[in-house]
Amino acid sequence: MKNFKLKITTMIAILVLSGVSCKDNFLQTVPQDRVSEAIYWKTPKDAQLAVNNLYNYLYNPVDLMNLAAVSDIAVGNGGFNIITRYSHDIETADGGFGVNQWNHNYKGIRACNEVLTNIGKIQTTDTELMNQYKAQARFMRAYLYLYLTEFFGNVPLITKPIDPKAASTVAQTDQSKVFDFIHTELQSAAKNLPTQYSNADKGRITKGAALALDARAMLNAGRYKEAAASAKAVMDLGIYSLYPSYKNLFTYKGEGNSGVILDKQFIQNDQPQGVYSYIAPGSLPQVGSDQEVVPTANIVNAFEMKNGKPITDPTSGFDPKHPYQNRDPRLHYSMFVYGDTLPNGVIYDPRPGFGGPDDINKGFGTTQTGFNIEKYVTSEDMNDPNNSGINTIEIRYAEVLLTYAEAKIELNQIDQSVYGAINEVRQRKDVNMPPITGSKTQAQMRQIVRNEREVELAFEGLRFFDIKRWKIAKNVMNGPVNGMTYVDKSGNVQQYVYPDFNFVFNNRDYLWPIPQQELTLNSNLKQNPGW
Amino acid sequence: MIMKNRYYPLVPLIRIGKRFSLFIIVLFTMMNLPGLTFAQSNFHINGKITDQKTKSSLPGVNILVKGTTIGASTDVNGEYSLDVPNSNDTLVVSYIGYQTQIIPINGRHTINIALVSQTISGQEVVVVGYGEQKKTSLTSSVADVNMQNVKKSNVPDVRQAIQGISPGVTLVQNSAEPGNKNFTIYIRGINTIGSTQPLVIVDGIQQNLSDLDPDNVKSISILKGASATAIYGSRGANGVILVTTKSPEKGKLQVSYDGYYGIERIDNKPPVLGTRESLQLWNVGFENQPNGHAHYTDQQIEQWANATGNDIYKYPPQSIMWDVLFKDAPTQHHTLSFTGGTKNIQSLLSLSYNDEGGILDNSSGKRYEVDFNNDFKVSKNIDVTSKLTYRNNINKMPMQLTGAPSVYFDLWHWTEFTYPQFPDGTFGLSNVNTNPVMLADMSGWRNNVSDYAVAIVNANVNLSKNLTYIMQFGGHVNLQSNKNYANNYQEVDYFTKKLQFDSGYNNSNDYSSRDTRWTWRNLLKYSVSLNKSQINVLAGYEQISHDNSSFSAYREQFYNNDVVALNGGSQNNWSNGGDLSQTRLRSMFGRIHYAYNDKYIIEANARYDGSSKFNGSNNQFGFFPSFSAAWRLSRENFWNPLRKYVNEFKLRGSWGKAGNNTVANYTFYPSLNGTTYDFGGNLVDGYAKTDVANPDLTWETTTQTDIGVDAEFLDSKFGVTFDYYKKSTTGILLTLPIPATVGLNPAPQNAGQVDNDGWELSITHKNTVSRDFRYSLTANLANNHNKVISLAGTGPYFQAGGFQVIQTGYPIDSFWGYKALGYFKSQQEIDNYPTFAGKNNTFPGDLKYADLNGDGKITADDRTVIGDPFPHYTFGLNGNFYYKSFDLSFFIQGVGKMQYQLDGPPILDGMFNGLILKVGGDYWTPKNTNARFPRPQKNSHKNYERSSWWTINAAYARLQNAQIGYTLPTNIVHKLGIQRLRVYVSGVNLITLSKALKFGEGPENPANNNANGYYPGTKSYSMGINLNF
Repeated sequence: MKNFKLKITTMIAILVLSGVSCKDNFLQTVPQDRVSEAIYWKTPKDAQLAVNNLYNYLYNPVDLMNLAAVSDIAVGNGGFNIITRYSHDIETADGGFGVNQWNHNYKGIRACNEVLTNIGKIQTTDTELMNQYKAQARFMRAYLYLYLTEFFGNVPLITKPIDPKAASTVAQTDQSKVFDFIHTELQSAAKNLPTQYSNADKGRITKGAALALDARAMLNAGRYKEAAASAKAVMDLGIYSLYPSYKNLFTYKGEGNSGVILDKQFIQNDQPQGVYSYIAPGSLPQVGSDQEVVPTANIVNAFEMKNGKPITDPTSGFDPKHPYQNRDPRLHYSMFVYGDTLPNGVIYDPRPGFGGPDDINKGFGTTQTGFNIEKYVTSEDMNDPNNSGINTIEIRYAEVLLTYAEAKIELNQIDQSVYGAINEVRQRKDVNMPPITGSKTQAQMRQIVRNEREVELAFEGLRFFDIKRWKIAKNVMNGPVNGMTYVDKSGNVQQYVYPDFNFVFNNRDYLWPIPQQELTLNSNLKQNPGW
Repeated sequence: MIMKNRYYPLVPLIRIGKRFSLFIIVLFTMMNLPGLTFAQSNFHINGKITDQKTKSSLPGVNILVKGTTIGASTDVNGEYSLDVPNSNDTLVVSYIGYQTQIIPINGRHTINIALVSQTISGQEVVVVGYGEQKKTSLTSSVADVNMQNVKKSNVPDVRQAIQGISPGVTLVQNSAEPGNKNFTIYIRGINTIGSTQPLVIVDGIQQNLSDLDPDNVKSISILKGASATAIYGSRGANGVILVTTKSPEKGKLQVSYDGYYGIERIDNKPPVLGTRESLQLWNVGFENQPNGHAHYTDQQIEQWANATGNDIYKYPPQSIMWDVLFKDAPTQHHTLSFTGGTKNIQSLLSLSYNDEGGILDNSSGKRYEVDFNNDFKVSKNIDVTSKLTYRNNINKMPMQLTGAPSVYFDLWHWTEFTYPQFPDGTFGLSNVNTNPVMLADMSGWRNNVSDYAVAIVNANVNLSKNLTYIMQFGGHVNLQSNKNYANNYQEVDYFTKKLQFDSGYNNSNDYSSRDTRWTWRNLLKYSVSLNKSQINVLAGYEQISHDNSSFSAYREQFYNNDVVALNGGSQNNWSNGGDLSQTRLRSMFGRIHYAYNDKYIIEANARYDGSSKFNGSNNQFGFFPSFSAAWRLSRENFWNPLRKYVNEFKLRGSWGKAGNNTVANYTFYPSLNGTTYDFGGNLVDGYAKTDVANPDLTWETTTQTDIGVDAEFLDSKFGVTFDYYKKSTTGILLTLPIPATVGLNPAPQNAGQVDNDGWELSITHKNTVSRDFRYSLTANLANNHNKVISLAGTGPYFQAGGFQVIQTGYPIDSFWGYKALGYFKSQQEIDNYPTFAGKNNTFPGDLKYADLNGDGKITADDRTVIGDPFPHYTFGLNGNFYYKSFDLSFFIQGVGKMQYQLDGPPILDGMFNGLILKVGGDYWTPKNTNARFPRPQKNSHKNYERSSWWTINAAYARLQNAQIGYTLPTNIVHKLGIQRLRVYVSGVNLITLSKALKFGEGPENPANNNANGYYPGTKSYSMGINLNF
């Protein structure tokens, strides 16, 4: 027994000693799910992987829809929707939506700056490839700065990775300087980028994309000469043309067509987008109450009659009892209006109180205007609505043509090329609206190109910037938000009005407020006027 | 012979999991056993048993020969007589409310015994961190849970059993899902913005409280004061719950069985508005739209409201869905245990089985457990004990139980006039093509299985008379295996027979994880008495390694819903994932406890913790000290005149620090994470730096001061414990914002401060009224105030979609919204005061919100704190009554003051579809301007903003459980070879009183989650037996 006791005691003593003595790095655990920064930026592959990541910062289709919802042509569906509140002056101005834009863009800019700062550490002889990567990063950074300065005006222009301490003292750069920067960067990027890629790299930034974005930026900056020049440069590349089918532009069939200059790439299952459930009518299968953005009567009214006359023209033939008939075909390609056939074959009927599958009064989530967006809503995605592989078009040729036309009109250089550009858009094969002819005044042409831009590029993320550039936001976003026109059970023409909220656009809304938190954390930042 | 009899029932009992009825059969069989005799009784004893103080005789006292089933009980005169096998046997004398006595017979024939009533605190021993202490020498606030009450709670989950039982310990049952109940537990308020869960130590190692069977628990201590929690250092700040499970007992084999069988039922069905009134309300809502008009004629409404027969299919009442969806479900629980052993080896084997049927189709919870505990006396100075547990928990739920659409969500949101299921088996479909009964039956299933094994080995070595060395190895492994299988199913319309709904692909999400934790601990305990001084010293070293790995995989498009293994799915769109993590903790700790004459007591505790979650020598280690003292005034001479009234009076005070290290791993490590994108239809990888690394991160620290009084009155007939405490948590692990221009996610930092202060009162009373009637009552009451003191100059932080706020000066997660001033009474009032919706969209009867910033508009800037989410004046009242062989116990718990923020269907009044409650029938019209609900208007949300209008009083009182038992006379059961047999009926959650119920809210529904998918609370009725052989 004594021996036994001794044994036990010895065993315990050994255990104690071994436990205490041998594990000096016991408290040092190393992560097994991430890569240490210390070993990165060594090989060309590191550069490639870091550049690949940048494309995630291209705006998602949902972002583009939200940009429509803060303009006059669409609205957040239902009063509980944060975007509605933001654009109707109910939500605090630095609430959710604006802050998200600020944060998203600076995150993307950081990623670009990481590439541009660290890529030089890589030992390689393939300088052309490295320059291409750098150009892609430059494009992305300019793309994000363009949104930032459009939303917020003067913004900190950060071109290197910075730490929180440095970030707490950065000052804003004048908007004109930001536009200078964007222009220089895009022109420089265009020089280092190819016009096309092999299939494996399809979707990367091209020379055309850099020039087209420059045209967009310069138009917004009011630098019409540069805008026209860059747009013309894209047209002169000779590789882009309008896709004959507007109807298929935003479907799987139209992916990567001849008019696409830059698209955000998606693949079903692996890298899907979910805009379908964000916008599709509530009656489509498996969508439930997700639809968040719906069109307003403003955009519906902008579509001309088939004969090219606006519906306000007494001779246009517009019939308020059948308001959606004989209209510019793009109305029915861009959105669902009463009487259209949905991808599941059902007739779209949102009339309030009529008991249709999309009856406005049905409750949660049904359209609160009586309209739904159709772009990117296809029958292929119907049974798996959050798993769409349709690439989202960021920049397309029609925009470049209309940018060219608008810039030339503003420069008052209205030559045949301007008519040509507009008519090329109007006369796409399945649109085929009557051409603009004769010699119009600058004011007339301005009106024509603006209307054309509104209907051609509806829900593609441009309208908000257009109405600010044209200084018409105060006029078009004022008063009740109108929905569908319909004939009620007594035979009277009625207009449904979006509940509770009115359009409100104040002078200060031309620029969003710098997020309050940024001002708190950095006393060098100055708030925008009126906020 | 006797042995045979005793063992006879065991074989069938093992199978008792299946059917309670089986057990009845066993009992019945036993009763009919012929020739049942006792063992040879060759030594006769008799005597009388009295109360030591009152000298009155005690009837019904159990007298048992130790290690046998032989026994007797006293008669009405307190007298007993008994034949024992051997004059050297030992008697065990036990009586509820009295200390059990063990008396060797030593050849005596007459043994009179005076029982000492169990004082309320007296010499009771309480489990504290790494040891035990006499209750009288405690210097800190430790709640010792009364296990008798826990056992009588008749619930399978120990958390439910301790709800409300101890002041300052708040448990909120969020979900009553069988086999997967969800509780929020906090001790003395919420210290921090991060994790608030207390540390749970079971048999010395960190385990979950969730799966613990109340039948296996020997004791529960809840450490509240800092001097008690400091010894758990970096993990102690939220309080510590110490659980000890049952240990083997010496002596001949004892077998006991406890079991019950019952019925569970939904606790609260909300009162809904009748069909006629609902349609009339809808009509008003339609009429109140701009250009609006009524949608139903009176004739249509009457047709609908008066529908009978098959017309009900088209025009069902709102309540029908509730009636069909929830059904009564059987529930049963059985524990069978064997214990016994020699001086050198003792053993305990316990088998338990719990089966809760769900009140929803396809929901159930099952639990199987085996515990095998052994004590070995290796030598005079060495004891080795082991505890082995294996537990298998199976929880099954319908696939779409939570989220939207889901069973509970749909029940509230859009299926108010949908017929549940037609005679041909098809389901009624709402206008969004859904139906809760269909989702419960058809949507698929979630099967969560956990295999949990614990092994704990302790070695006690008495190195000398005063010095003991204890080593413990504890390991546990939890293997979790979840499978979520979504069915593919179609529904045709009952009337048109047309396909109405197709759920799309079936798919399976499988997840498995392995979680292991090893604890290795060395303790030295030194204990010495010198004259009047008693000194206890503890020194310890501990290290814990915790590893977790997980794997998940997904496939879809199975051939049909019966092919469920992943291999049966399509290889199109398959995916998988997995993770690994490791954390380590190494600690040294100690305690010195000094008592002089059992009168002046001081104690110091300290722990030094090192954690792998933090970086470098500066931040990796933390030091957590505490000091406490107590003075038993009642042992002073000057107390003598008072002693008659106040026999025990103790003042306590403590101060200490404890920590909280609940923060993600590796936040100090600069790294890049993988992303993906695609080019030309092919997926490509990407890498990005996304987070700032913070190498300076360390623990958050809670400093607590506590003063308390323990007093006992009138010979311990009454007892009072009162505590006041103040806690301050600093260096809260807070992810403070950084300028977004950095472009990275901020890292957690140590910043911010949250304070809690409160008091706790518990009163006990125990009385023996007569020989036949005794009772005890325990009441507790507590309150806590929570306040965010600092967020390091940042905040407010909005939570729960902006409806709750963490803001300096207010309780954590305060409700956030507009302040409602009542209804607009006239157009003039609308013209003269800012409105939320446009003036053109606002009408008399709409809510008027306060323009707090006076800018002439109602915007988000006018929102403010509109409610405190914390329960105040939490109370519990426990009663135990004994009359002859009957016993009755009840437990009432509740909250005296609490606010609840309503949201969703309960307030929307049918204006967006959704269940219309009976209270919603009281809405504003020009004739009913004092209504509870505002002017209805379809699709308009202006009145349903988060506002003080919808903050309700959710105070409640609940009869949590009640039990009536009857102990069969000993002389009868002894003839059956049974020592003790008690039968009882019991109920859980029998009655709840609360103003929140009419809004369809159980008082424990989590704020902001109303009706959104928590499994509803249940009540249950059961009958059971306690049986000792």
